[in-house]
Amino acid sequence: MILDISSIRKKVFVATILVFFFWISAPRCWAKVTGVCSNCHTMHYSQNGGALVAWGSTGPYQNLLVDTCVGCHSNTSTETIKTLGSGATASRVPVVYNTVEPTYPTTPSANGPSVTLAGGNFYWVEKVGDQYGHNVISHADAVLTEAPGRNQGCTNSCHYSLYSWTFPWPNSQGHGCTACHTPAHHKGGSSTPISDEEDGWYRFLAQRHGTSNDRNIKGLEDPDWQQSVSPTDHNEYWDYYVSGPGGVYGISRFCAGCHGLFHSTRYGPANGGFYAGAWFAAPWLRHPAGIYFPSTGETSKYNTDGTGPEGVPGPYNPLAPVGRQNIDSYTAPSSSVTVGSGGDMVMCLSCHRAHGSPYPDMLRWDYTTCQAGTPNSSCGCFICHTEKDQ
Amino acid sequence: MGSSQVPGFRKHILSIVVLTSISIITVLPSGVQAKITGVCSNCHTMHYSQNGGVLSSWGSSGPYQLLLVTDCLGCHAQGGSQAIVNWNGSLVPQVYHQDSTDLAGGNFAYITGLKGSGASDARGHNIVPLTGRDDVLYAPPGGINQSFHNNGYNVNTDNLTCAGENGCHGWRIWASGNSGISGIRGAHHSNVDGACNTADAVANSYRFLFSVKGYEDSDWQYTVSSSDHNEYYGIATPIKLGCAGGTYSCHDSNTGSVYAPDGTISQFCATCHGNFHTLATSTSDGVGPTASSPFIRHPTDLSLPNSGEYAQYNNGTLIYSLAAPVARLSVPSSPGSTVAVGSDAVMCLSCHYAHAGPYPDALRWNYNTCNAGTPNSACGCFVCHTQKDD
Repeated sequence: MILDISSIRKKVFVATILVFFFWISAPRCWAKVTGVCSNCHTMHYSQNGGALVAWGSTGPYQNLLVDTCVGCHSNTSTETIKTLGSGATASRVPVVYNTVEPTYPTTPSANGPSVTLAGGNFYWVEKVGDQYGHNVISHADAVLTEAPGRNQGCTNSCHYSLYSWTFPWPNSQGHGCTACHTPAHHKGGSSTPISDEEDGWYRFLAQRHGTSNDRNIKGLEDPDWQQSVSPTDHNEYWDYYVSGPGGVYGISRFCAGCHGLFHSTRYGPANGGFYAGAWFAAPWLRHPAGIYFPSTGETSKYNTDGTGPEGVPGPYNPLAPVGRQNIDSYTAPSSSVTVGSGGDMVMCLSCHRAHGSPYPDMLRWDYTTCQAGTPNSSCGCFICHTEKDQ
Repeated sequence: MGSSQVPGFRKHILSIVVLTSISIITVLPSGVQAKITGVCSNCHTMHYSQNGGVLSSWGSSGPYQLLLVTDCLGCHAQGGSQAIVNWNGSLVPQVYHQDSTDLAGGNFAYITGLKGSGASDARGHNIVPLTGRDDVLYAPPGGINQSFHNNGYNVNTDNLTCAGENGCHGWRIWASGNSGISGIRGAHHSNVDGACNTADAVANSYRFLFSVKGYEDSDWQYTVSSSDHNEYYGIATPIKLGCAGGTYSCHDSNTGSVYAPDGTISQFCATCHGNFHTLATSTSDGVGPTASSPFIRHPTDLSLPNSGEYAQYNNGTLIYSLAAPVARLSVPSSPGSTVAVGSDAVMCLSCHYAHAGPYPDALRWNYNTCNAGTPNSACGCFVCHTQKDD
């Protein structure tokens, strides 16, 4: 058999081109950290005989890091994405705690270096008051002694408080950032655009105990953490209806790990949960989460003025985002919202910022300005409750 | 030849690597209605939790349906000194209070003795959580003689409540499970004030009494005069009500709710007390077989005759009497100060308060002081029966 090297060369060339274009066009998740190692690591917590000023001062740190979680992800300016290193070897770091107030987006679209990222910001809980976010960083909540809505049955555990843990496990995973996140900065797969197991899960929101995947969160991660945000430029959240323990999770069920009474379909009226009737439908006892938008009524007219036909929602509004049941089918953020049994869901993050916000109860909007019968485009309640402002 | 081709092959591999790297860099992220008004938090709490507990201004037995901060009675039966409570800007009419002025529906405080001359079950409708059960009556007196309607099977003193299946306000749908606030869901937010002439939903019915037509006074008759009052709806001739020989059913085929077939207030009362106020059927003797004297029970939904003593309504002045009001054959757009004999009708509320009053049988006046042949302006009987006190 005669080997036609010229033909092989052409085929390889064509294959190269195809691979290149496939690489460009194929959706994938880009969660993996990049940059030189020294952006984040120090082998001995020592340089020139001491610790660099850019490092945290309380080291050495686990995993040979130059700082703590907060140390890396905080900023003394208003910029909400900071750069470690420079040039092609720099690392982009999303900021969750600015010591100077960042800009909070109050409209569906926003853009700028100081725009608060999707998870919110700990600025307000650190600088303004405990009611503005999760107390994770510097002090315990002066009012709350435990996670409100806690009903998990395991007392004195990590479900109690993010600031301190009292259960004598031989680790500190029960509090702080790692109570919610399981960092996996170096993970990052390419087989799907969704952040899932190969990527360390959505925003590293992954199980804290147990071995199954039922407490791990999937989602589509906006590449700039929603520093620029619009109905077509945003995270995509995953939520799911679950009637009992175990099984498929979702972002609301993740929150319910600490706030079970507030948001878990696991807890019915006998356990102080949020639904009142024999099935998971109104009248609710507490605001539901992980529940799809019905195809009738005012909420089926999501993000409209409420005067149109039922079952016809408006576009996705980042002020009151929805969760997707079928997150695996998403390759890019969508401006479309669907209602009905297979449609999108109200979730904890429809109303709250995960870290903190300028508003009490870490709400996405100023609840005190939500007046029945008074239109207010800044009030997120009315994005779903489209007839209550009429 | 082959060896000369290998470097070329390597170049292609190198190209793939370079192009792949470039592609990675390229696609890296670059970064005339009276709907309720007031702030949502006046009436709602999303999780029945604030500062880790329950606010003192909320009811203590929550969480409540529809995410309310309390139940019907918690809002409308506060027992304070005011008949209308200003709740952070939302005006809330009280049905249980100590104000010297009662609202149009009366005051449950007369049953408990909070107001008036001591406690008595005879003074109104007993609502168990507010007044305790009626120690004398179990079933509603005057129930239509047909299965379950005259023995307390459907409604009795133990289950009578404000709204829903076993109530007066809202959707009264048997076996719906919506007894209480859930039976009136959404009505406050779409309330139609003033003339309620449609009454095909709770919100556009008079005082949320589904199907009842009428004109709602804006301050519930806190200020009241012959030209400042509610207007009630009636018809000229009573009907035969009930499914046992009646002409009209009190079950709405469209909604499944119990209703007043013609929308009159008297028919509404007759849904529980039908034998008192409608024409005789094959099973109930009612007020008598025909709409003419002699009656065997006092009629309602019957126009005041334009003859005899009735033609001299209210001492011959024909001025609308607040002591013994009449119903109109059409819903006016504003309160009228005169009465048209021959047209305007006697109704249940001509003699009774809906909730409770200071006198036995929830009467508007002290029946014990009505003496034939003795003028008594405080006796409402004589407003119509103008010659009986001569």
